[in-house]
Amino acid sequence: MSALALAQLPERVLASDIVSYRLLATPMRYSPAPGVVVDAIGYNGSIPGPVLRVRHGQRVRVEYVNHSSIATTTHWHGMALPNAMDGAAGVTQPALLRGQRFVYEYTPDPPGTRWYHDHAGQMGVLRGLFGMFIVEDPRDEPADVEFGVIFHDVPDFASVQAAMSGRSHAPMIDPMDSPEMRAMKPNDKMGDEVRYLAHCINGATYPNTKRLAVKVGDRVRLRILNAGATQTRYVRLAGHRLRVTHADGNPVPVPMEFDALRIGVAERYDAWFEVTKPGAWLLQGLSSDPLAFQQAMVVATPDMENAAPLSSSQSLEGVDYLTYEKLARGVTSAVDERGITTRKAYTLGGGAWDSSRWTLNGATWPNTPKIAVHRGDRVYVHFKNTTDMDHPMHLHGHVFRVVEIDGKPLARPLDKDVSLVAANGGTLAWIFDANGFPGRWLLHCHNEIHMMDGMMTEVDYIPG
Amino acid sequence: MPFHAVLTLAILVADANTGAKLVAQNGCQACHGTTFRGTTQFPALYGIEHRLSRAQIAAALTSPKAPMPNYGFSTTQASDIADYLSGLDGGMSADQPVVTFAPAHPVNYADVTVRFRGAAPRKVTAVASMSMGSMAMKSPPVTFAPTADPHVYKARIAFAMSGAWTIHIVYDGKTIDRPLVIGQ
Repeated sequence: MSALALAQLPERVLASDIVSYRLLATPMRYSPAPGVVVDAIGYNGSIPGPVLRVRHGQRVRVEYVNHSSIATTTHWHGMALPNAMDGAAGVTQPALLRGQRFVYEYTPDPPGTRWYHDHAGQMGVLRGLFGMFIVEDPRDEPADVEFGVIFHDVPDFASVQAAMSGRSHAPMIDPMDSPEMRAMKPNDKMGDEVRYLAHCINGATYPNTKRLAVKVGDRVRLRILNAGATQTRYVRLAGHRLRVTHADGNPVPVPMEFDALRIGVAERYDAWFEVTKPGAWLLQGLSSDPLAFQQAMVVATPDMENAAPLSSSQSLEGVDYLTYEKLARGVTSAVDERGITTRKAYTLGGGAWDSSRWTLNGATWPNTPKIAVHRGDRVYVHFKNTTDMDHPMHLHGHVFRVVEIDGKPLARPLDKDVSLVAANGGTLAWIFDANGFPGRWLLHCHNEIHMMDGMMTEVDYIPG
Repeated sequence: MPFHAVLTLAILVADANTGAKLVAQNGCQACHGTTFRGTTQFPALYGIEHRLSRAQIAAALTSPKAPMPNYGFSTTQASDIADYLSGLDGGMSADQPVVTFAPAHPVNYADVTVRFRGAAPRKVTAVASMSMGSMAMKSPPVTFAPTADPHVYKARIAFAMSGAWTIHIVYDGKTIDRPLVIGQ
């Protein structure tokens, strides 16, 4: 089990200009729940991997060695960094075979809750290669207690193979009354669902999840990451509302409170709550899976550690959960289109029963249409989702601004690095500035099945 | 043997059993097992009525001891859940039929055998359903075939999807529900 209590950095580390880490991808037998044992791969023998932490402005040097039997790389999700450090196998570096080593060195930017994970297309994330990377922002308000919370699901690999060919028979496990469930139609065939053996928080299942000890009066900051490969996660803390201050590590326009957070694959939210009385409460990932209750951890004051913790229903009926539109303070009349130099539209397609194709404009990687930019361009990207699943679209090396959803301009656009495009005709638009490091930057669906099945393209900087 | 594909998606109009709905909404099976038979860490709920009274079951729900969580159930809700759990294995009543499934870990289909005590029924049918929130997968009705023993009926039910199903068996105007996990 990996404890994610976020200790303050020792002074010695604060004083140094460069923080060094060593990460080894190691094969391991992993038992996340009673009776469940899988062959997995963890960073330094742990799932999730260790929390990496630097102050904004410090440089990081990570020596990465692959001791596993699959090809791997390490991608630094949400970082604007030199292209050669991005860790995209086959694009910015060759995949590392067993015994091979790569040194990643860069200055983490922008600050906030980032993460790192495998990016070699061999199901490394599904096997356990992921961890949190915190870049401390000196502008942040201080918290009394800070805690990293990583949600992930442990797959049945036989169902992953079936899902990749679009012939899975696994059921949907989204919560009751979720938009995912409400979008189901008679005779839907969900051929690409993965069947999960366990649903975890920080690598463990209830009641073996680590407890978060708090005191009355504490202002608590949770850094929450959905590191699952395919499932959108709904997160709720019984008896509390959660105040969201950062989305994907970036400050939101105005902090807002919700009953529950809806967290797409690869998304992060920083959520705060205040402990106003003694008690024991469960932080939970909601689901309609009979195994849903595994994804729970206790938050308790000292005198209440052994009390039965207050729990939430797994249903979303009547629950005020986070949406982009709420977080963006509603809609406005028009998108601010000043300075746009380049436009690109993608239709997200595929996903039919019995098909392994997930497409961008009808094509699969590497034959998908790319976006060519000059440094200094301002790029508008529009997505239309014709499939019956949501797609968490991610851009490497940049923060983009979500400006429009389903044709409605957002009043206060959101700075993110991954955003869910809704199923069944949903649309979403980004604007980003091509002011990053030159190179080739992947743009893809972060559902690992969809990415491996071709829903990927790239943004290419044209030299000169 | 009758053979039907289970593919139809239906909206559950009403939940016959409030206790069953509360159990599904609160994820009891995560700890107590997908067929309620317990795990190495947690007790079985299947057959619980032979160990605890309904009042004791309800009290364990409204005044839980950690790591059992506090769901904030009302006494009525706790009583509904106690009723549902007490009937998982057929309950205390001696005239309940005995239902068995084969193979032990079904993947694509299950052979269902129902052995009746006392008077043999004239017709036995079953519907398989799997709740997925406010929606459910639901099979067309399967009619059981009689066997040489008038007290024993058999049917084969096919499944297009893995997961935690419930088999609703109807005979002589009565219904019994049995959990069945497919593909695990």
